[in-house]
Amino acid sequence: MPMAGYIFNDLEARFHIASGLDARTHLEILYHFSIENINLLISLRVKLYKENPKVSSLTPVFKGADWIEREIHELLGIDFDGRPDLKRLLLADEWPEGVYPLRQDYQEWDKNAIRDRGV
Amino acid sequence: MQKSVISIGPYHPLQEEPELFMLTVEGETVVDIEVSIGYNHRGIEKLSERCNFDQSTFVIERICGICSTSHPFAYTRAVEDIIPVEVPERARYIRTIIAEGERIHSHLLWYGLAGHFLGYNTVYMWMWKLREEILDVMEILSGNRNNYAMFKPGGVRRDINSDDIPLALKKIDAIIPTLDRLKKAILDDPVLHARLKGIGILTKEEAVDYCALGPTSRASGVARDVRKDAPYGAYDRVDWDMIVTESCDVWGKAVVRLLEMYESIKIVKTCLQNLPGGEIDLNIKSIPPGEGIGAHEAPRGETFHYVRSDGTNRPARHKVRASTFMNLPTLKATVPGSSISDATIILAAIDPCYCCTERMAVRSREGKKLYGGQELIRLSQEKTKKIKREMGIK
Repeated sequence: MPMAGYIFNDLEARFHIASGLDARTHLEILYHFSIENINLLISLRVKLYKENPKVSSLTPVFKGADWIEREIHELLGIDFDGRPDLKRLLLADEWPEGVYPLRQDYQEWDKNAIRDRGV
Repeated sequence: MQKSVISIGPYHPLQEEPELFMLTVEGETVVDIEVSIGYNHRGIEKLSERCNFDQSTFVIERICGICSTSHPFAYTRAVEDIIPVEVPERARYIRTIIAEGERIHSHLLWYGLAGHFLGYNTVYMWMWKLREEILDVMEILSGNRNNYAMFKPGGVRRDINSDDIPLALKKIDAIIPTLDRLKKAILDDPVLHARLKGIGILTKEEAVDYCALGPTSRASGVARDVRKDAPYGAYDRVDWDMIVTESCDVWGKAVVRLLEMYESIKIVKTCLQNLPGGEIDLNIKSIPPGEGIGAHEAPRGETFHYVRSDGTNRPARHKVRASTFMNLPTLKATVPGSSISDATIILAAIDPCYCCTERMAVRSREGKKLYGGQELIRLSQEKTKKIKREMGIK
């Protein structure tokens, strides 16, 4: 978090987005920043254990991180420390707690749902 | 004073992108706004992991119907970043032409709807009529009015026929006089000045804090445009200007979009006139393991794609960031403090594909319906009429 704060505030970088992903052995978050005047793209990589993944929130540093943290929380089950609430952003209200669709071990919880049209 | 909650959305039969806005109002003034999205969550990132790299291009083209080129553009750049390769010169020009044509018709669409919300139905009709002309040009060049399907990793799928270029150029030239007239009508209209100036203020600091993108941030004096900052396609081969205004309000956003259309017309014309010959595709056979990032300045702001490959023929992870994802939270800064009749146009000003703005309903705490969707548009249009009366304009 101090690193991201330094990049955003002191280097005046622009925050693009954070990409969360499940790399099978661990979870990863990549924070993408760019500094336009020197045409540099920075991706901060954070690796997390699969058990109880938790990382400090960037929302206190800049508000642009608010929604993506909510998204990563519900899709990958990563907790963010030090931010107000992590309420649901994209998933439906009836989606069960603790089922994270972007995890590699995700199993269809609703057997009757037609989600995959066999692309 | 009694506070009421207005819910706007989530569904509207006319437009895509359902979203729900909960406005808390005190009398006429909005004091808080809560934005809920997710009504249209289709899991395309997950879907893309099941498609191979070529199929993904088609899937993500269907994320948005209006800016159907911006996502494939960013995605193909991300895939090319993994290898890494440079696409052929002719493909770069063709990509730029398609992307800029799309920007023109997207901005015209916004102007039409904004005109309708303000009670300027003539603007609405004219803008959409003009948009048809642009869609005709796109049909001449790509074969499709929307969803052009021109992009593939390594180049473009189809070539532009050189016999079609004179007709396309003629059609574009025919648009300019009408656009000039509309530009004059909009910029010189005292009612529009009174109606749009000073509402929905997003300061430069807030724009940076919320990481706002595209016209939303450029209207707040943040001079950032990925086409200028890190040129790709043919954007560094063509002479064009980045439009930035300092007014921070809805008027600024309208001006940015209006002037950007002229820049886009300039880019399309120059590219069509100087279209170089040669290959249009690199015929990429396989994607090595690695990570790639691609960005493209879509009409609504920068789209950003992150693709990770593990050496198979499918992406291991494909992250899509659309521009409205960063622009919608800025409503928390712009809407509180404004009146209900201004909220319609402030919500529309970030160009969120309007879906809901027409479907507002004002309810009191007990759930009693105060205003329906049509009444809210009427409120907005009546305010314009009132300003007109005060100015003595019929």
